[in-house]
Order: sequence, then C-alpha cells, then structure tokens
Amino acid sequence: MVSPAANWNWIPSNIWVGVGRMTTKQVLFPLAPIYRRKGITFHQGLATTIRPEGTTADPRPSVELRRTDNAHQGETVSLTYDYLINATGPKLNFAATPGLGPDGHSWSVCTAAHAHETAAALAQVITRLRSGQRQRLVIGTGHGTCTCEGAAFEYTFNVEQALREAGVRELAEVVYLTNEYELGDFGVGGMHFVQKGFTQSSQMWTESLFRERGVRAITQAHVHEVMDGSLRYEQLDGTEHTLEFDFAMLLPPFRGADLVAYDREGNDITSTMFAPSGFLKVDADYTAKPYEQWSAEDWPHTYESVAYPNIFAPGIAFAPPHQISRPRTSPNGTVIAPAPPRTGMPSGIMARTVAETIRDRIAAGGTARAHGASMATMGAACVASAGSGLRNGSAAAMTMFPVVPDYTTYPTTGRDQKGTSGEIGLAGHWIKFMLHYLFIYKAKARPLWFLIPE
Amino acid sequence: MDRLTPTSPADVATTERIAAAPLPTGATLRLRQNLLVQLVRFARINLRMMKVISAKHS
Repeated sequence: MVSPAANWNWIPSNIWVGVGRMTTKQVLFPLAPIYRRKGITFHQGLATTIRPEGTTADPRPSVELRRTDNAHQGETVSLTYDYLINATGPKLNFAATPGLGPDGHSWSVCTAAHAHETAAALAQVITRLRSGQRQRLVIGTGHGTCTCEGAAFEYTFNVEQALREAGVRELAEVVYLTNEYELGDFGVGGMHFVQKGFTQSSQMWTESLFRERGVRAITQAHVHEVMDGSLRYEQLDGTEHTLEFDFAMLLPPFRGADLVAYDREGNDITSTMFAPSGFLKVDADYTAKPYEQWSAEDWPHTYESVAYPNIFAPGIAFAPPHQISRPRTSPNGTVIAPAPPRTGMPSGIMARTVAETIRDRIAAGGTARAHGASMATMGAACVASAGSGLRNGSAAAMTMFPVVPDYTTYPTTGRDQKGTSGEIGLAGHWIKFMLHYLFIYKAKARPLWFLIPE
Repeated sequence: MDRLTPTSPADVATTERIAAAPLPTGATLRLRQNLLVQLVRFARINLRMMKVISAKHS
C-alpha cells in the first residue's frame, strides 16, 4: 500500500469541518497502525513513475515512489509488483483557474486541512455580520469542468444553516455558483423520481430548496479568474461577468495524479496509458462521438488497463469515456460541462470488483476472467447534507439506478424509476451521520468491517 | 456591496424558476423534522439504499 498521506480522511464529513461542526481529528486517522495490524506493508510516499515492463536490467514491472514520511523525506524507492491498482483519487487542480484555492483567493473543503482553514474564514465572516456589515458568500465550482457539484451544494446549505443559527442570515447573501446547466444536474444529467403520484425532476426539487432557504444561484458558469474579493466568470452564452464576494469556497477541477510511464527501453508511454487529463485509460470506449450517440456500453466494466491488464484504476483514477451530463461549449469555445462523478459508493464497488478479479487471478494463475461493475449497470446512493444537528439537521437522500442513464433499457428517463428516488428531511441527516461512523469503522478494519456494504 | 441582480438570460431564467418553485408548507417542514415520522423515513431510506446496493451491477 502506497499513500503520500500519513492519515486517511473521510472526505464527505469535511463539509462539517468547513462549518466548524466537526474537528479535523474526527475525520482523520493514521494509516500505519491499521496496515500493521492487517499485515499489509505500508509505504508513505508519492508514486511518480510506472514501469509496466520493468527495465532492461530488471524485467519485473515496478512503480517508483518518493517517500513523504519525515524520516525518509524525498528518498526514492522502487517497488516491483504483479498487480498494480492505481487508486490515487484526483489531483486537486487549483492551477486550472488563476487565483483559485487556499493559496489564492478562495477557500476549499477538499481536504481536512483546507476545511479547517475555511471554517476559520467563515467564523470571521460571521463576526463581521454580527457587527452589522453585509457579506456576500459565494460557494460552488471554480472551473467549467468541475465535478462534485453535490459537495458544493452541501457546503452551501450547511453555511446557510450556520448563518441562521448565528442569527445573521438577513445580512448575508448566499450565492451558489455552478457549472451545471441547471440546478439539480449534479453532474449526472439530473434525475427523475416519483413522488406523491408525480414524476418530478431533481431540478424542480433543488429549486424548491433554494427558494425555501433563500439561496441565489448562478448556473452555466466557468470561472476564469479569482481575485482578491472578486471573480471573473463566463456563462454559456459567452458573456463575461464579475462577481464581488466577501467569502468564496470554490471547488477545483480534478485531474489524474502526476504519474509518468516508461516502457522497458525507457521510452515515454505516458500518453499510451493515460488520457490527457492524467486519468488511466481502461476498458472504456474512448471513441469521440456526439452526445446523441453516447451509450451505456461506452463505460468500463473491469477497470483494467488495456495496454497492461495487470494494472487497474478504480474510482476517480480511471479515465471516463465522456461526461454524463450533456457537454456544452460557449461561443468563445469555453467548455462548461460537469465532469462525471466517480466517488463515493461507485468507487467502493469498483474497488471491490478489482480486488475480486485479482483474487481470482492469483488463485487461477492469472487466467481468471475479470469481474465487472459498470457505472451504467450499478446504482448509487447519495446523501447530500443540507444542515447538521441530530434534532434540526437535514439532508437530501437520493438513490439512482443506474448512475449512467441507459435510454435503451429505460427509455423514459434513462433510469429505473423504482431505484431512483429523492427526499429531504432529518432522516437523511441521521443516515449521513451514521455513515460517517460506519465508514470510518470499516476503513479501520474493525471486527466484522466487511459486513458494512460499499 | 449591493444585492446580486440577475443580468444574463441564464441568471434571469434561474432566478425566475427558483421564485416559481414549489415552496414547502409549514406542515411539510414540520414533517421533515418530526422525530417519529423521520424514524420511519430513516428505516425506509435505508431499505431503499440497501436495495440499490444489492442490485446486480455486473
């Protein structure tokens, strides 16, 4: 096991760290003791290079890493492997938008440390509001190709709740800034579910929440630049606008980890193994085609590298064939299209599938057929917090089946109506709160951890 | 600073849609926070999620 971080982070609860409801200690735990207990060798380091054919001196496939632990900071290590699982998650690409991120002029909740800083900045905003100063808080996506709109949605409504509880809501203007074409898209092209005898859209459902909580929204936006107290963005119609703010939490777009690959002779094969976005190419159909020709079959099943079948990429690390939401471009050529979400429950299912494939191949000598779990045939449950508190919390609990719409099997909405649902209330918060403890328990490999499903 | 005024056609349309979206009544809001009702919803949502999780994906 190779990880550049010493601690594991239950990222969904960073939202609550970002409003001061949880501490970083509650969402982090050290990895080394867990791996020691489970008999797994742990290398704290950042993987930099894959040599899937080894070298002329040693033909065994290997991966190079730069150690990040204090005792061996900067040392390079090479590990040979039989199977390699590239489950790096994303690189937070703040550099894609000038001025974006904690090193620039906006805040983030993508890591526990970021969320902690953001909570302190939010506390300052509340102090200014208490002194009678009006404040504008902008929360959303910091680039036209961001994913994880659900996280921005969650943070928006948790901040709104924090402002109400502080008694300063009237002086605060909360603005949700998003690359989604319409509210409720969430990077999955929206959803339709049956409620009280009607098929309703996630768009209307989300807009209802925005109305109830008095949150403003700017959609179809690509942020070009974040400056001190203002940002410049373009919308799909090609118009440019400037938005002033007192506080901004904007998510970055993702790209793959900065890995390079070489063949046995030392030739650079990075572009063979990885998409330009840095994500690993797997068994997907990467043929460029218009939205109307997208198919459920485009999505990968086994997450095996086509070039090297002993390399896998579950979760965010695999290169998706295309978006799920309809991609759109402004007249200026700016792409404003949410990237497909691959985190949460789907990434857990993919990881288990890859583990089962490797287990079978070890048992059968490498010839076993790969297990499959396509996002076009798997469902997902998503709980988006809209406020915390065991008595006054709230969350939108959503299920969808499948994640990638399949209009051949489900011609009406692309998804099975029985498996697609949404409701908001305190029960959703209890579930999200329960998942916090359940998944940390599972990640710590405590007794019977395997009974907790992905 | 002044309150945000929608200017682009997209912002005007989004603002109008939000203004026209269904507003939950006081009774609906109370049901969403009612402990007994939400306890039942908690069980139902969990069951629904377990069904989605256990659905075949291969």
